[in-house]
Amino acid sequence: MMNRSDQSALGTEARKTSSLGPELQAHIGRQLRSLYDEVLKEQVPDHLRELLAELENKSSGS
Amino acid sequence: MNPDADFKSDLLAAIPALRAFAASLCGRVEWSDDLVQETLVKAWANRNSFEPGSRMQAWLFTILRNEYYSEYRRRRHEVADPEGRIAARLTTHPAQDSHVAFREFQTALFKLPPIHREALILVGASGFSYEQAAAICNCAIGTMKSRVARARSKLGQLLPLEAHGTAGADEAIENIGQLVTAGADRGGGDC
Repeated sequence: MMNRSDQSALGTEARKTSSLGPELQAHIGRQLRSLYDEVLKEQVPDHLRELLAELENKSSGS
Repeated sequence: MNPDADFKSDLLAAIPALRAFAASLCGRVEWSDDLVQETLVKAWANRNSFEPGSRMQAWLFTILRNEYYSEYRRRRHEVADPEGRIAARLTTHPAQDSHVAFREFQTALFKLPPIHREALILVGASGFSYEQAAAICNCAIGTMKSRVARARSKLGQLLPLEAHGTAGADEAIENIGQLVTAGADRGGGDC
């Protein structure tokens, strides 16, 4: 039942979930983005830079 | 520039997004660093199969999630971020109230099945359309939409009741929820 309605009512999916309430939706969106963005804006760790350099060197050496 | 050097600088540019995806997907700092590392190694080994001009970030996210799920089978018994280390290192929540709300959110997020959590992250935080997210997860757009809807509704049930009112608090509301909804309409219309 649920699956069938999911398949047939794709266009209204977003509106259906608004039964969550706009405040809660906004809350979820904000929290999700702060979790994501906090890591996104961190500097690339040195070990990953070094890894890329190593991969490139290995390839050019072979 | 030789192709390898170009490829390397594209990989470097994609690392912040890969790390953000990995951290919000698996919730464990060490594991997410391992995932990114594995992803870079695999991407490098398969660099000849990457089609220039296609979206590298989506390609890399696909690799990362495949790594995640093959590891997940082995690690599923481990608890996500048991000590809340992701939350602990965050700096954007100076107010105690919002810090608590953030911890509660994380606890709820990591209770979701990963397939629902990733759907929410890809569409709600990474900025992919439903179509792109579906391609990354190798599923139909309709499946992606229903995963996002279920993830949100499940989160709504898991969050404490007071969270339902916090969006109306004093602070300015960015209303990302509406962006997510707009993304839903866009995803449906473009394809």
